[in-house]
Amino acid sequence: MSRIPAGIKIGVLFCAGIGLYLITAWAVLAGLLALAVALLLWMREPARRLARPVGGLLIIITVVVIMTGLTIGWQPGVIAGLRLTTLCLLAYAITLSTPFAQFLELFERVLAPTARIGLNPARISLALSLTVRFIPTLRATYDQIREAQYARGLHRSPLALLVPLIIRALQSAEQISEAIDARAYDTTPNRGAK
Amino acid sequence: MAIGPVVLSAVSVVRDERTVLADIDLTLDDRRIAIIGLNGSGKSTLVRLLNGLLLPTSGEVRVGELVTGRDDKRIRRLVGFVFQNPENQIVMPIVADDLRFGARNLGLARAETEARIAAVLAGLGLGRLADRESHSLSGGEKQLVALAAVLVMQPELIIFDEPTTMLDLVNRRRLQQAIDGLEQRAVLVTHDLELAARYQRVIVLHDGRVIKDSGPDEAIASYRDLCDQVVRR
Repeated sequence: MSRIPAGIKIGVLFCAGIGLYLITAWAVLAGLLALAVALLLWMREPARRLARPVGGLLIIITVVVIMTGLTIGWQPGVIAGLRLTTLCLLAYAITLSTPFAQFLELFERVLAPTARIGLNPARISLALSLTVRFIPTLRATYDQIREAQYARGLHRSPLALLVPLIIRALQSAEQISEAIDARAYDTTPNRGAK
Repeated sequence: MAIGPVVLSAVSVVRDERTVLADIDLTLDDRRIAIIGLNGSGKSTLVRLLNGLLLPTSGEVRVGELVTGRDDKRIRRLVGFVFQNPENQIVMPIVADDLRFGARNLGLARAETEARIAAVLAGLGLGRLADRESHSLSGGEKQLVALAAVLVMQPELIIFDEPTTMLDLVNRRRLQQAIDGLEQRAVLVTHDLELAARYQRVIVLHDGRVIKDSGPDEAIASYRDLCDQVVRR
């Protein structure tokens, strides 16, 4: 699956997203969910790595099913749950089988026409990758600050958390920008196109 | 392309009305140079001048025939930079993608990029990390990946700004071994005198000025004297 170009995989995901919402028979949807599970297992990722994201996803979808069940009805709730779970597992399998760089290249290609209206796809693409890269780092910084504030007895002070978090994020941003410059980054849209 | 010496001529840097570097004249052409000094002595500022990350307030920095401020893009292809905190140097979520980032900035073809990445990771014993998520690496692994990302670009001179500060002894030694094995010239900013002692030339900075520029024994002795004086004050 990793050999399939990212564009095709995203295209399939897009079609699956539409297709799933055209199917109303729960038995067919259950079959498709089984296929999505099989696809994810085919990735041969360690169960430990899959457990956290899939577990989190199932909690959210369970809430959606319950809310839909209580407000609209249990059959639509179950059908919505089957569709969402199938689509998310399919998206997750695609994510696992596609190097992030391929996503970025695709993203840049898709955004290439925006260069005509003055946007810079290379810069947008880099911003996207930096966002993904630094979410865990920001989370770790948040945890460190929270621990430090707890140690000082500041248990319920959002300001005591947010102010240092923002300052540290800005300091990091400056260092990251310097590191990007040091690695000869050029924001012209067709840099390195070979 | 051999870049020749890096020459700083009458370089001063003033920030917020404070003189960070004052009238520095240096020719950096040795294979291994260490720069030592107290906190705030201007070490990091000095090395940021060498690849145009920072421009002097007055004076000129030449990298061979190239001049910072005018030829920065070309200079950054020749002069790599490894920062103190690798966390902020690794910009891609996956290790191999981070190495591709620099190669892509050079405009390398895909096959050449992949060959360089494989060779660099193997050379540093990091092959197993290629598909790992950057944030999940240990501090030592991150610093080695940061070095790998620079090596993929095949610079001729590599600047290290306190690269061992955040590392334990084992990772410090691993990084030092990696630096020792480099073909490239290296300029290293460090507080680690044991490390500086292995370098052929050591420059001591204090209050933005070069107070000693010699072999390691003499320079380190001079730095120890300076530390004694400051503590006694």
